[in-house]
Amino acid sequence: MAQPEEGRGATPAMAQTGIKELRRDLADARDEQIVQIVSLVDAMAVRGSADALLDALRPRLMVLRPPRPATLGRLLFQPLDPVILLPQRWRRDSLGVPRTALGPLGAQFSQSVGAAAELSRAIQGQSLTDRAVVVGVAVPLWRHGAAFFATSDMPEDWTKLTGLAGADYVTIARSISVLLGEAFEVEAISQHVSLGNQVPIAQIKACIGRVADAALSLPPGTGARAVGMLAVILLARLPPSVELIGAISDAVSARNDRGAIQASEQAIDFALDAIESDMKFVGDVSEVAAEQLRVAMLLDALETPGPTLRPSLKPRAEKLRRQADTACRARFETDLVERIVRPAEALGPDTTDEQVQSLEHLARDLRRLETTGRRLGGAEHYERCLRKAMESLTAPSGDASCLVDRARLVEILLGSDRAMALVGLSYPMK
Amino acid sequence: MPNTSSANSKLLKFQPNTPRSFLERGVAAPFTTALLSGARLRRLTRIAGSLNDREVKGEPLQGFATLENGRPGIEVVVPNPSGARGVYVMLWSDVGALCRPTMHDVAMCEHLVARTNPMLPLTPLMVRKAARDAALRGLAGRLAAQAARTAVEQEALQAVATRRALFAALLKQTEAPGTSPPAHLLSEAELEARGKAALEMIAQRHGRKVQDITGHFAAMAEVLVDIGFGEAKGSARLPGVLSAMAMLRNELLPLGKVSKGESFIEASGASALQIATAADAAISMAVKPLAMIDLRLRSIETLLDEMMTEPRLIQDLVEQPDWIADGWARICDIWTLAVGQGSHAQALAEIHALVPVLPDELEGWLGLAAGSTAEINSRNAPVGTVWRAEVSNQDRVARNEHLRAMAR
Repeated sequence: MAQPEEGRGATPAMAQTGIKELRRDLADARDEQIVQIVSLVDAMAVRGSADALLDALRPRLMVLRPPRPATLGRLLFQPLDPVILLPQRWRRDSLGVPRTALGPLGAQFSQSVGAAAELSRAIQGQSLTDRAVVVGVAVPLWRHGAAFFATSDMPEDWTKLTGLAGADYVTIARSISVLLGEAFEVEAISQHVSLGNQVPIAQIKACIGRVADAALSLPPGTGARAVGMLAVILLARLPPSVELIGAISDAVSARNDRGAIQASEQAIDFALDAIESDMKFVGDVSEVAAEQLRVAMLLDALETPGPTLRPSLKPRAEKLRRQADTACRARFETDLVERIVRPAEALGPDTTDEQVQSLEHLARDLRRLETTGRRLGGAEHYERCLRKAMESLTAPSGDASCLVDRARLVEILLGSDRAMALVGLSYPMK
Repeated sequence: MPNTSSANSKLLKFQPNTPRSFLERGVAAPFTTALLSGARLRRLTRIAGSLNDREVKGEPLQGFATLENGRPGIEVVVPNPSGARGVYVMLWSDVGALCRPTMHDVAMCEHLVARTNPMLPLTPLMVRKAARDAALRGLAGRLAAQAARTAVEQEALQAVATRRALFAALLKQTEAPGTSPPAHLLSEAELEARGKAALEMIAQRHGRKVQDITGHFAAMAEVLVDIGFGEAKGSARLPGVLSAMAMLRNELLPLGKVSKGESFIEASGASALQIATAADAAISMAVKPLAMIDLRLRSIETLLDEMMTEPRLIQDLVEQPDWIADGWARICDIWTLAVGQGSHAQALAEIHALVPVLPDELEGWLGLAAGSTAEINSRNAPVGTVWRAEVSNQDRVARNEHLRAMAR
């Protein structure tokens, strides 16, 4: 059996030249075409090499996030999303699972676990985004997955299907087992935090402690990697604050396990790698704003004096901050002028409700970007841009029939106190 | 939100949320300002529990007080932002010290200050009209304006349908059986003519002036628009709110039974059950006065005669279910919106804090045992259900405007 290149995973062979050509063509496809293709592939009963098409699209799918039908495999491995890597980015020592492993692992699970068929039927026809529907299936599924991959044997066609070495199976399967064992807890913590509650430090430490305990029975290196992967998942699922990074650091330090400590530091590097490789300023403003907020939080946390501050990270963090700040400013200014102010100047009697709503939606997204941008690099630039925008939006030359629409844009971008005069309202701000 | 700890603390008063009357509880107002989400409005009074006398000048006006500038005082009753028990009370004119109210909210409250009778307490109907006026101006966005226009049109149609249903019932009750053609086959003009003839006959029979009886009939028809009558009941606003409450209860009850480890929203299960229970209690209380109204309307003639001595008889009865259901429409809309967005847990935490407290006054209205409302309130009170979701003020305003676009 041919062994893959040492230290690196390999993609499965793709013989069909047709697929290669299609992949080249898809590089220039529009977003809506991509969504359509994904929908067509998802609808295929037997996907075969069509899956290879999706591999080429994965980076864009991460941005577009089209609705995907719930499948057992997708739901089973959903808790691992932050550590699933494209095969070309996966290294044997990285804190990740190569995407190529998921198909064979999912198939093995479905064929071997008795409850799989029933769980699969329960989510048939549902969308992964419909949490209320899939949530009842996910919890038992993850428990079955944790139990199965704790002792599963490598399938015969593993290397053929994945391009990975035989030894990789045990490392990957056992790590997945440990992580799926904590999937419910991580989801519950994430829900708790999404309600606006503080990050539950004790629960996070307990979660890491359990993974570290479970790791003791794993082959050398595998346990520490599982701890590191859990840290990556927590950093991706929760606000990457000083408190969270501190909790992870405290939890692994308390175990006095050098491997786990290194793995948790590697998790930070993993997060910074992800920022570096995926830093996006194109596409939807709200997604850019949300992503940059996470970037700003992580950088703030890494630069805060204290136990989480690693001197070696500082230059890298500063460089990333500068890049993010510059890009945020540029994106904000361009969108404010080109997509808000100019269209607002053209508002008139023929302007549709949809056009106005779209402008307001964008204005709100820009406010989010501005909030993050201020955090990354200060307020002055944004205030200057907004002052100019205010002059245009309140200019008396605008069409009177859309005065309220312009006032609302001013309200969203600059606050109601500046907008009220436009519509004859007044209120004493104190 | 600026720091509220020092100077602003004088403007805010924290109170237990235990109103004796509906007027003290205030009217749920559809604020779009993030900080004021779920807040209520009431006139400033000198009653215990009111803000303070700091800015109150002169004698209260029919129990209501004016400010130093002579304008009617309006208080904002804000739910405890922590989601726990208690409310904060502040003057509307002081809100600017805490946050920047939206244009919609300024227009809504300005309407209440300047365009309502300061001698009368604020009612849910007054606040609905003020909010609709602000929405019609486009201040909560074009969708909300469209919703307000639709509501105005529907209300006009509802008024016609209610008047027609009342006339039909009047004819059925007063004309001899077998009179043809039956009311439902009459044209608008014929129905109106025969209806007026019936009113004249009633006036004659009871020795009343025709214009008095006709006036009371018109007032009755106007008052009944909100709850509907006869065939117009199905499309009326208040029965629609009660249906939405029943649907909410039915959707929340199963969530309340989810056991630990079965769902991520298990922590909200207790909230779901309490909200469902509170909705159920409010529905059963609201239908009592509605049943009473139905009973009264079985003899419109007697009712019209009674209204000669008690002109507010039917209006008082109609206002009772409106007060009882006040605040629930927003709760239902928050839930509907959250279900569409998959954010059930957040919505449960938020609406649990918004469940309207039942004032003691209700016991008198419905003949309930003393202390029964306090018992219901304590069963349903959120205990430390923290609502501090990572939602920016900007997003909260957008969400609140979306709710305005769903307004009935």
